Amino acid sequence: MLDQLRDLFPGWLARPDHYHTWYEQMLCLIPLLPLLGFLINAFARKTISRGASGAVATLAAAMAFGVALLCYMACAIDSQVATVGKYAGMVQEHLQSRPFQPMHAFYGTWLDVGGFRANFGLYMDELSGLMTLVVTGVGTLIHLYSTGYMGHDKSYARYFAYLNLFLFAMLLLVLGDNLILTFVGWEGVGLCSYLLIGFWYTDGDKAAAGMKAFLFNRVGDLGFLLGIFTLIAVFGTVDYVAPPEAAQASSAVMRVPAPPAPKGMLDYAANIKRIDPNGNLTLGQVDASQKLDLSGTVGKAVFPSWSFKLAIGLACLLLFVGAMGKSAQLPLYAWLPDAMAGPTPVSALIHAATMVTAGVYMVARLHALFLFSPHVMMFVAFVGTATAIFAALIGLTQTDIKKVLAYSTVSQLGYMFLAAGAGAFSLAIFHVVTHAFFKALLFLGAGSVIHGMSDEQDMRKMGGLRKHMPVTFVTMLIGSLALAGFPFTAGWFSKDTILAVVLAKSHDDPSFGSWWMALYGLGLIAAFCTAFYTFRLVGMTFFGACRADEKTKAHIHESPAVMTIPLITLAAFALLAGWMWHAFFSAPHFLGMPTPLDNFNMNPPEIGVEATEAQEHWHHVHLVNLGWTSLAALGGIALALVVYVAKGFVPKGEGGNVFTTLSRNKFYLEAFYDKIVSNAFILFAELMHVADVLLIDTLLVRGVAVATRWTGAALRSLQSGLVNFYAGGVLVGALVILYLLLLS
Amino acid sequence: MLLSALILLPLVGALPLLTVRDRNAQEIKVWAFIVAFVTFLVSLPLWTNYLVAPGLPLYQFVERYPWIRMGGLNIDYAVGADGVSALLILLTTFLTPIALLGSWNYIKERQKEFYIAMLVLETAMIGVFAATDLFLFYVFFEASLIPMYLIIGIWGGEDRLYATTKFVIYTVFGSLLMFVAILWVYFKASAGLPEGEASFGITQLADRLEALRVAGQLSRSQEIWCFWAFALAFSIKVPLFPLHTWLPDAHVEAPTPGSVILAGVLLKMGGYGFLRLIVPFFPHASAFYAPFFSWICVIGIVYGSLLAFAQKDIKKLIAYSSVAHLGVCMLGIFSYSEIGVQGGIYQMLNHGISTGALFLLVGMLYERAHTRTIDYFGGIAKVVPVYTVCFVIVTLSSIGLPLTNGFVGEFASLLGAFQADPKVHGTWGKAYAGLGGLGVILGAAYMLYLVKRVFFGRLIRASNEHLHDLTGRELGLLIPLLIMIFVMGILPTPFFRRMEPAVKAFLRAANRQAQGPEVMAIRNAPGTEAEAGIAPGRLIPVAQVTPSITPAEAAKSPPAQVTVASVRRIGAYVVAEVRIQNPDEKHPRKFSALHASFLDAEGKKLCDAIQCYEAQHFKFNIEKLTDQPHLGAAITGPSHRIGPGQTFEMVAVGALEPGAGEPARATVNLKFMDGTAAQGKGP
Repeated sequence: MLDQLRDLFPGWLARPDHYHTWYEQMLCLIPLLPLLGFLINAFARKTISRGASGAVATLAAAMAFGVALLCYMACAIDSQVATVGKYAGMVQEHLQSRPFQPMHAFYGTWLDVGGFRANFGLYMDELSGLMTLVVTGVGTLIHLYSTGYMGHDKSYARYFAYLNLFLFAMLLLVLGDNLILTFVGWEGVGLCSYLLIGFWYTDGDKAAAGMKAFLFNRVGDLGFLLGIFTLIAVFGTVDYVAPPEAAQASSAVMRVPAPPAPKGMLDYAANIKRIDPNGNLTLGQVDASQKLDLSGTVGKAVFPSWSFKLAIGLACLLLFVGAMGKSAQLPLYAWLPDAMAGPTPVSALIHAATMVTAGVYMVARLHALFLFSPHVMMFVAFVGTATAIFAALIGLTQTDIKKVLAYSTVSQLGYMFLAAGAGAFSLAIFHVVTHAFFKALLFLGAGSVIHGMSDEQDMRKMGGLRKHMPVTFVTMLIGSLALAGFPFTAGWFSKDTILAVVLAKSHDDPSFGSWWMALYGLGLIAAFCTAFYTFRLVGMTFFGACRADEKTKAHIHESPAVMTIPLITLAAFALLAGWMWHAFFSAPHFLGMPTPLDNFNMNPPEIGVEATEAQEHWHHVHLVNLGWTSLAALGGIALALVVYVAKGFVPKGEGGNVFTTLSRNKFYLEAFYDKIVSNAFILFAELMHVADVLLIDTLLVRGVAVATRWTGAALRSLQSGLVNFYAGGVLVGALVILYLLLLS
Repeated sequence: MLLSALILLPLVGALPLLTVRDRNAQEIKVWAFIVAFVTFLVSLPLWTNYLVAPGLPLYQFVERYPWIRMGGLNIDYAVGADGVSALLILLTTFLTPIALLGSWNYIKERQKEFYIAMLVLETAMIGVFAATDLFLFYVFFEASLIPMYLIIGIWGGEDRLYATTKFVIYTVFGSLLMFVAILWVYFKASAGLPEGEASFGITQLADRLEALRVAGQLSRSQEIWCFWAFALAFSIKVPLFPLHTWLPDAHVEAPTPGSVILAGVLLKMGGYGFLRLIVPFFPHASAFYAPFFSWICVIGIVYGSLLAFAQKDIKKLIAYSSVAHLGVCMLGIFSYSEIGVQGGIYQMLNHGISTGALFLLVGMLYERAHTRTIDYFGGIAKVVPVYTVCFVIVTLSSIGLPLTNGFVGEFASLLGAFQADPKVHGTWGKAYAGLGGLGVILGAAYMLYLVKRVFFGRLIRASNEHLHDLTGRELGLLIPLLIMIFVMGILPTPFFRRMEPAVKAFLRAANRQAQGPEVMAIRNAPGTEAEAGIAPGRLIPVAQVTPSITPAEAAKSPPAQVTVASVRRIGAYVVAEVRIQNPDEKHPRKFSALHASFLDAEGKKLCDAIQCYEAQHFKFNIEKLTDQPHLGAAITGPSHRIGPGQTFEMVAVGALEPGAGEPARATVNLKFMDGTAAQGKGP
C-alpha cells in the first residue's frame, strides 16, 4: 500500500531526510483553500444555507490571502535572517542584491512520459508572490462584495463555487513552478470565465458570450501550446527554475539510471544582463560556470538548422499569441467586451483585475526568454500600442457603463504589453497591480450603480447619482482619477513611467528609435482618450439631472456596507498604491527582473561618470514625458468635464460623423467576427459535410458496392443455362487457344 | 491462467442465459451484469500484478498451448499481456458492465439474445488484446464482428440493416486482405525452418521477418504489399480518413451499449493492430509511409471536427468527433517518438472513457425525448441540472481541459507529433502538431456549440419541461466514468509507467528501419556490386565518395593492413571484429566497399556478412544482441574514412542459415576509393 502511494506521490513520501520549512509546505494551501471552498459549495450547496455558502467562499479567499501574506513575509524575513546569520559582515550588500528568498515546494510528479516531466510544484518569488497577493487580496474583497451584490440571485451557491474555482485556477497559474502548470491554470481560468460569463445561462446571448470567450481563448491557447512544445524542444524541460532537491531525489528513486541534474528554462537564460539592439547578448557574469550553458538542451535535434535565438524567438511569438487571447489584444480582443454579460463582480475580478492580466504575467515570468528576441519584443510593443489606441477610441462613444470599462481594460492591457515590449517588465507588472486596484474599484462601483439603478446599465438613463450614492460616487471618482492618470494617483505612476520608458527608448534604441517615437505618440493619444472617456463616464453617471424613469428613480439607493467596504478599501489602494513606484522602478532587480534602467545601459553595475550622465539623461526624459502625460490627462479630464458636466451633453447613440459611427460600431471588427467569420465557418463545415456524404460515402463507398452489384449482374447473364450458349463459348475458347498456339 | 479465465468468463457466463426464458428479463439483466462485473473484478490483477521493473519480461500472464497442427501450420493458443494490452483489457472489462447497465431500459426486445451477444462480444474483445498468436488474434478479431453485427442489426435504429451491413462488409473487406497477408507472412517466415519451429507467435514472426529482411530474402516490394494488406484492415477499423464513413452510420443506428463498446473498445483494435502487428512486422514500409499516415491523421482531425460541427444529430456529432479524436491517437503513434506513442495509447483509453460516457449520456436523453436532434432541445439545463453537469464534465474531458484525462493524452500526442522522429518524418513534425492542434480549437467549437444549443438559452419546447433528471442507476453508472476522467487527468503516471516497456519495445522494433532505408538504398546502389566484384545483395558498399588521394599516390603509399581479431556467434548471428590500419602517415584513406565471409573450422563458407558497423557503435549494442535477437537501433551506416596512421575498428555481422555449422574464421576484402585493395583473414 505504501509502495503504491509512493508510486503516486513521490514527493510527499520519499524525502524524510530533506528539511523543508513549514511555510514552504503551506504554499499549497494558497490554491487548495479556494478549491476546498469550491468543493463544499459544489457538493453541499443543497444542504448549507445561502449565508453559509457565501461565508465559506469568502473565508476561503480570505484565508488564502492570509497564507499568501504569511508566505510572502516569510520569504522576505527569512532572507534577512539567513543573510545576517551567514554573511554578518555583508548584510547591507546582500540585502540590496537579493531582498527576497524564493520558496519552492514540490508535491509530486504529474506527467512523466518519454523523458519529459512536469511536476506539481509551486514557486513563490517576488513576481508570483506579488501576483498572489493581488489575486487573493482583490479576490477576497470581491467575494465580500458579491455576498451583497448577488444577494437576490437564485444560484447563489453555484456562483460562489465558480468564483472559488476561479481563484484556485488563477493561483495555480501564478504559483505553478512550470509552464505546464501555468497552462493548467490558464485553461482553468478560461473555463471559469466561460462558466461565469454564461452564469445566467437561460439567456442564450449570455451563454453565447461565454462560448465566444472560450473559443477566442482557445485560439490563443493553441499558440501557447505550440510555444510550450517549442520550449520543450529547445530546453527539454518546462520548469522555470531547477526543481527543489526533493524532486531531484525522488526522480533518482523513480528512474534508473538517474537523469542528469535538472535545470529550469530560466536557469539557462537568467544570466543575460542585457541584449543590445543587434541581438547580441551580454551575460551578467563571465564566470565559466555561469555561462549560458545549453549543452543539456535538445534543441538541435528538433530544429536542426535553427539557431538557438531563432527557436526561442518562435517560442516567444507563439506564447505571445496565447497572451493575446487571454489578455484580449488585437485581433483576439473581441471576446472581452461580450464577457460583460457576466455578473459585475465577475467582470471586476476576472475581466479586469486578474485573469486578463495573466498574459502580462506570463510574458514577465518568461522575460528572460523574451529578451533573446528583440523583434518579438517589438512586435509585443506594437500589438500593445495598437490595442491601447484602438480600444481607447472605441471607449469614447460607448454608452453601456460596463462596456466603457471593458474597452478601457483592453486599452490598459495594451499599455502593459507596450511596457513589456519596451523591456520594462517590472513596470508592466506595476501597471497590472495598480490597474487591478483601480479597475476592480471602477467595476465594483459600476456594479453598485447598476444595483442601485435596478439593473440599468445605459449611462444615458443615469445622471445625478452623486447625491443618492455618495460613497459610490467618491470612490469611483478616485478610481477614475487613477485610470485617467491624474498626478499622484496610482495610475499616474504606472502609466506615466511606461510612457517615459518608451520615450527614452526612442532616444536610446538605434534600430527601432523612430518606431518608439510613433508608439509614444499613440500612447499619449490613448492616454488623452482614456482621461476623456473616464470622465465622460463620471459626468454622465453622477452629474446632471437624473434621466431614469420614475419607477427606477424611486428605488435608487446607496449599496449596503458589504459592498461599500470593498469600494473604500480599493479606493485607498487606488490612491496610494502608486507610492510603491520606487520599489518597482529603481531598486535593482526588483521582481527578479532587469529594471528599465538596466535595459538602457543607464545603470551599469559600477556607477561611474558615464552612468551619472545616463541617469541625468533619464531624468530629463522623464521630466519631458511628465509634461506631456499630465497635459494629456488633465486635458482629457477638462474636456470631458466641459462637455458632459458643464454642458450636460447626452449622446443619442445614432448619427454623428464618420468617426463617432466607426467608434460606436467598434470599427466593425466585432461585426466581422460575429457575422462573417462565424457564418463562413459554419458554411464551410456544412459544405464539408455535403462533400463527405456525396463524394466519399456515395461516390466512393457506395460506388464500390454498386459496381460490385453491376459486375455480378453482368456476369450472371453468362450463366444463362442454355446448352447452345455454353457450347458456343467452348468453341470460341478453343479457337482462341488454337490461334495463340499457332501464333507462338 | 488469468487471461484465459478472463476470455472464458463472459462466454461461460452467457451459457446459463440460453436456458432462461425471455420473459425473465430482470433475471437476465442482473445475471449478465453480474458476469460482466465479476469479469471486471477478475481483471483487476492486470493492474496490480503487472510489474514493471528492469529484468522483468515484457509479456506477463503468459500461456501457450498447442492448438492446430496440420499441413505445416503450427497454431497455438497463446495469450499474454504487456502494459498496453493489460490497459486495453482493463478498459474492456471496465466499460462492459457500464454499457450493460446503460442498456437496462433501452433494450426491450429479445433481451436474452442481446445480453448473450454482449457477453460473447466481451470474450472476443479480451481475446483480441490478449492473443500473442497471430492466428488466434485473427480469430478473435473476426469473431468480434459477429455479435456487433447482430447488436446493430437487431437492436438498432430504423436504418439498422444498412448500417450493420456496411459495417461488416467494410471491415471484412479489410480483414480478408489481411488474412491473405497473414498466411503469406507465415509461410514466408516458416520456409526453411525445421519442423515444429515455425510459429504464428507475433514476436517470433516479427523477429523472423527481420532476419529474412537482413538476409535479403524479403524484398521491399513484398514488404510493402503485406504492409498495405494489414494497414488497410486496421485503417478501416480505426477508422482513418477517408475510410470513416461506416462509423457514423454504425454509431447512429447502434443501440446505446453497442455505441459505447464500438467507440470505446472496437475502434481501439485498429490502433492496437498498427502498434502490435504492422510496425513490428514491416518496419521499413511503416517508416516509409508514416509521414503519409500522419498527414492522413491531421486531415482526419480537421475534417472530423468540421463534420462534427455540421451535424444535426447529437450522436452523429459524437461519432464524427471520434474520427478527430482517433486522428490524434494515431498521430501520436505514427510520430515514432516515445512520448507520442505513449500519448496516443493514453488517448485511446481516454477516448474509450469520455466518448463512451458521451454515448451513454446521449442514450439517456434519447430514452427520455425519443429524439437526438439538437434543435429539438435547447435550454434543458434548468430541467435536468445533474444531467447537464455530467454532460459538461464529459465535454470538458473531450475537449482536453487540463486536469481531465483528455488533456494528458492530447498534450502528449501532439507533443510527440511535434518531436516526431526526424529520421522518419524529417522536419514535418512541427506541421503535424500545428495543424493537428487545430483540433484543440475545433473540438472546443463543436462541443461547446452543442452544449450551448442543447442546454443553454430559453427552454424552447414545452414538452421538454417534463424531462426527468438522472435516476440513481444512471448516475451510478456515470460516476465511475467521471471519476476515471479526473483520476487519469491528475495521476497519469501509473498508466504511463505500465505502458512504458511496451512502448520502448515498439520503438525498438520500429527503429529497425534506422538501418533500413539507408542499407536498402546502399545495397541497391548501381555499380557498387561490380566495383567490389561480389554477388549482389551480399555486399556492404559504402556511399560514393571522392577518393582522398589519387591512385598514383596511393600506389606509392604503404598498403592498408586488415586483420580479423575475433569471430563470435551470437544467437543466429555471427560477428567478426575487423581492424583496418592505415600505415600512411600523411594521407587518409577511404574505403568504398567491404566484403566479409564467415567460414567454419574446416574453411567451409557459411555465409557472407550482411551488415557492418563502426565498432564503437556496435559495442553499445552487443549486450542487446544477447537478449534481443534482432539488431539494435543506434547503429547507423559504417564510417569509411581512416585517418593518417590510424586504425579503424569495425564489426561485420552475418546471419547464419538454420542448421549451419559453428563459425570460426572470417575473410575480409576491402576496396579503397583510390583503387587499391586489401585483404585480411583470421583469427
